[in-house]
Order: sequence, then C-alpha cells, then structure tokens
Amino acid sequence: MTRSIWRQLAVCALAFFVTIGPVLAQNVLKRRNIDDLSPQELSAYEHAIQILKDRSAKNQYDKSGLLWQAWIHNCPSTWVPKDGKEDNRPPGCSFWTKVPPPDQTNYVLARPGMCEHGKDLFLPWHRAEFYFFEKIIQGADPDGMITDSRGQTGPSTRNVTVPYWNWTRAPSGARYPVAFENPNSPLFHKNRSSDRIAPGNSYPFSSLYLISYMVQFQDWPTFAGFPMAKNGGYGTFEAASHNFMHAIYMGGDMANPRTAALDPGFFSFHAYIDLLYEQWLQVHGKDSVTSQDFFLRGDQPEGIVKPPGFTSGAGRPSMGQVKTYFDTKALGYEYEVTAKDELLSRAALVKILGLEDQQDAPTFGTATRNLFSRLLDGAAFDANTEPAIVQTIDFTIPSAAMMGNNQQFFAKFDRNPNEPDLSYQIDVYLYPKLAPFDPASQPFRRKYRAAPGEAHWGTGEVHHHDTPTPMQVDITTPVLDLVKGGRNGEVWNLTVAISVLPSLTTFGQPSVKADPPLR
Amino acid sequence: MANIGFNEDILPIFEAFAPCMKNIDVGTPEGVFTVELDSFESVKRLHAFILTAIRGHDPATPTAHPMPPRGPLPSKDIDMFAQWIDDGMPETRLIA
Repeated sequence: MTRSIWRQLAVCALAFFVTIGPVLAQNVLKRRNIDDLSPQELSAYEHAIQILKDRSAKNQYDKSGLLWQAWIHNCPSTWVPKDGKEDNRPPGCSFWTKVPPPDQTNYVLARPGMCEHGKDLFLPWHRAEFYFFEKIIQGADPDGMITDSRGQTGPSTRNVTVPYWNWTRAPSGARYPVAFENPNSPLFHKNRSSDRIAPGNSYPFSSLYLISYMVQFQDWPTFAGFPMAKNGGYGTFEAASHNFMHAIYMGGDMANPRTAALDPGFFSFHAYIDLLYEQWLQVHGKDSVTSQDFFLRGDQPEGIVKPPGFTSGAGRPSMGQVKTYFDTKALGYEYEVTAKDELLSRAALVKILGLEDQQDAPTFGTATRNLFSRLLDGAAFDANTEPAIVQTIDFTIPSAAMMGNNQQFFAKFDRNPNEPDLSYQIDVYLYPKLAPFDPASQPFRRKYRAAPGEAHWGTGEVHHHDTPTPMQVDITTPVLDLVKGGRNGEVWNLTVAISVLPSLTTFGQPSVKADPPLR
Repeated sequence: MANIGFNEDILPIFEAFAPCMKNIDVGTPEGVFTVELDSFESVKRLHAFILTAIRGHDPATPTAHPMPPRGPLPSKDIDMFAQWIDDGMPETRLIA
C-alpha cells in the first residue's frame, strides 16, 4: 500500500471521528431517583446547581446560569445589555416586571423562551429544555476544581444528571425528597409549601393509579395535549396532575409559570414528568405523537453539543424539533427505574379499577359520578355530594388546656385489609348535632367540610398486610378553629363521607386521633 | 372572494395588540418566529395559530390561551379574519 493511500485512509478516519466521534463518545448516563443518589452523587448535583446560581449572581444574563435557565421556562422576553454584561438592574424578566431599562438603545429585547403549555408540545418542550440544562450542569465543574460560593470545591459534575422526584409516592422528607428540605442545600427554596404530608395521606392528582392509568391507557392527545392548542389544548396529564402539583402541592414560586423554575425543585419535579413521557413512548410508540416537525422555542447558550439530527430551523433561536428528542440514549441519558418507582401495569389497573366491567375504559369527561372520571377531570377537589359510605361519630371539642404544643388532630379509620386494593375519596365534616348532614347542600359543604379537597387513593403498598389498614385525614386546623371559637366542651358530629371505586367496601368505625394525646 | 385585504381590513383589527405580542415567539414546522401582528408576512405565516387563539373564547372552539386575554374580538372581526384566510390571504384588497 502506498504512502498516499495511507494518507487518504488517515484523512478519512480523521473525518469519520470528527463527524461521528461526538455521537459515539456520548455517554449514556442514568437519571435516578433523587432519594437513591449516594451522598457523593447528590453533592455533585448540588455543587452544579450552586455554580449555576453563582453564575447568575455574577451576571444575570449568563445563559449558563440558573436564572437564565429558569427564564428559558419562565420568561417570553427580557431586555439584555448589548454587551451581555451585568448591569446591576434588579434581576427579573422584564416581560413580567414591566420595567424597561433606562436607556433601551444599549439593550436588545431577548426572548429566553417560555415553556409550552396547553398543547401537545408540553412534554417535548420540557424534554428539550432539560437536554440543554443537563449539559450545562455537567459542564459546571467537570474536573471538580471550582470552589462554589458555599466554599465547597468539587466534586466533579461531569456525570451528573437531573435526578427525578417520584411524587406519586410518599415523600422521603416531610413533603419533598429529603434533599429538597435541607436548608443548607442549594436545592432548598424558601418560597414553596412546606406543610408535612401526614403518613397515609396523599393528593388525588399525585395518585399512582391516576398517573399509571394515563400512561398505560390514554392516547397521545388525551394524555399529552392537542396540536396548536386546539380542542382546549390541554392533555389530561397536564390539566389533572401537573398543574395541581405546581399550584397546590408545591405552591410558592412553583404555582406560577412565570416563576416556577426559580425553585430548584422544579427540575427534579419535571424530570419525573419526562420519565412518564418516556414510559408513555415505551407503551405506545412515537408514531402517534403529533407536531413532530415543530420547532421548540428557547434561547440556549452557544457551545453546547446539540443532539443528533439537530437543526435550528428558520427565524429565531430554537432548541430543535420535537422529533429530535425521542431517543433518550442518543440524547445521553436513560432512566433507572427500580421496583419502587414502577408504574402499575395495565393488567393491575384493569383489576384494581374494575375496568373489566366496562366495555370501554373510562375516558375524560364520561361517567360523571364515577370517582375515577372525576379525578381525571380534576373535579375530585370538590366534595362528593353523593358519597357511597357515611359514618358519623360524636366528637367532643377539647379545651386549650388539654392540648400540647404543636397539637394535631386526625380523623382516623381502618379498612378491611383482605379486600382488593381500591381508590376512594374522603370528605370529613364537623358540624353541630342539630345540623342535619346534607352534603348535597353547598352552604353545608362550605361551612362544615373540615378537610376540603382531600382525596385518598390506596397506594398499592398497604393492601398486602393482614393488619387493618389505617387511613387518616388531617383535621387540625378546623378543630383548633373550634377551640379558638370557644366551642370547647360541645359535642359535634364528625362524619366521614367516602366515595369508592370500583365497588363498595367495608370500613371500620372512624375515630379521632390527637397527637400528642390530650391531657 | 370577499375583497378583504390585510392592509385595509386585517391590520386595523390587530394593530392595538401588535406591540405586546412582539414579546412572544411561536414554534412552527419551519422554525421559531416572533408574533408580529402588524406585519403581513408574520400574520400570513402564523395565521393558523392566530385564528385558533382568537376563536378560543368560543366554547365550541376552546383553546388553552384564548386571545385577546381580556375577552373576545367582535365576532365580525373573527369572521373577517377567517374569510381572509379562506380567500388566500391577500396583502391588499383585490378591488381598490
């Protein structure tokens, strides 16, 4: 073989590795449950987040800082100095603050993005957002040499991924993963709800049943939304679960799209949603995903390796097309799902939800009195005016002298453990003995429903035990209100009204638990 | 053909909303574009999005973010915009 042929081969090989190399070199990293991270892995993620915060503190317009990355989600447009340097204006998205710079000639109106909601781009858009975000945190301190503003140097962020928070399961902390609740962690955020989720309690919109049903049974537009926001735009997942998680479960900054991503918990919350998107794709395939050619708005930093097949399209900066983001391995990640994070299977749902009794699976908006349908359309936050089971006991309102510090009260009852798993909503009422129980009356519901919006679904974890299954509803606030109102010593009715799916079951007599016990 | 032109008939409907909407980018199959309601080319390009949005207050054609946010345009304006689309979106009236 002549020297020239070798030279040509060498050139070809070089060209091959230059063009294909980045794809082949792409590590496929695991996105894992945040509760499963080792201390070192969690530390690396926290270090990356802190570095991104530090960048924004130094220059709010740094696209690789946490604030700009939040603006990718929160902000349609904002004024940015032409030189891109910090101008010491109060940080804020000017579209929302309505505060223009004093001299606009030195500024350009940038468009960081704004999340896509209320349409079929909802899930693909957030996946694209996270592709870039993950590359940014991996590049924050790959060699583990940077000292962040906490004084922590390293560890390396080269292999960090966005850990997911499985919010369909009981939290490892009081309300969130433990990692979110450490006030010394960059993942901590003051402006979010912090009330403890009592053991056994849950919200209907985070129900494993509800989420599993959506993923396993619903077609693309029903699950994920409609093209160009037609037909109301929203898919059931976004409308009946995601939105309530933002507004009610997390609250604070997360309650509003214009501030949501300021909470670092946003990223793990939505990483789980991306896992659900992935699981939907695994069940149903990608062919029925609509708007695959659509480009996704977002002004990401230069220099980030784009996903395979990326094109930016015409017009303004974009994050590429929906179809660019189907293959997570090509994007550099995949999900680790252990047994505790698995969704319920189709077979299990058919059995648990009684779907075999119906010709068609329940769909959005049908069967108006069916709890499952009511959960799907978000209506289960209202009291059920026709509960299946009503049980009433006497409740003597205690005096303040009987109570300890941080006194709590729970309406408590047991369920027959040998019955199949099921789903049910509980409305707890506290009302004077002379008032008739009338859940169909709106004035009655407004005045006496002690635990509004509470609904409980079996978790799939408790029904295998042979001991009675205790469930409880927090009624601390209404009881303390009655005490403050001078009602101590009065005997009121405490009624537990239960709506059950798929069939009636037997419940034990309710009781009230005082924690700590009354003196 | 209803002899509806962008310059004469459609622009006056949208003109008041144009400054605010220039803050918004929209993703399409061709790329991402700013909503410029005072631009013939922009309105022509994004006509399907605009029609969905301005019809969104009608319970028969709901959308996630109906426009304008504070209430619907007069129905005659919505109908005129739809007719303009059906007529091929001319920049000016065919008959002066």
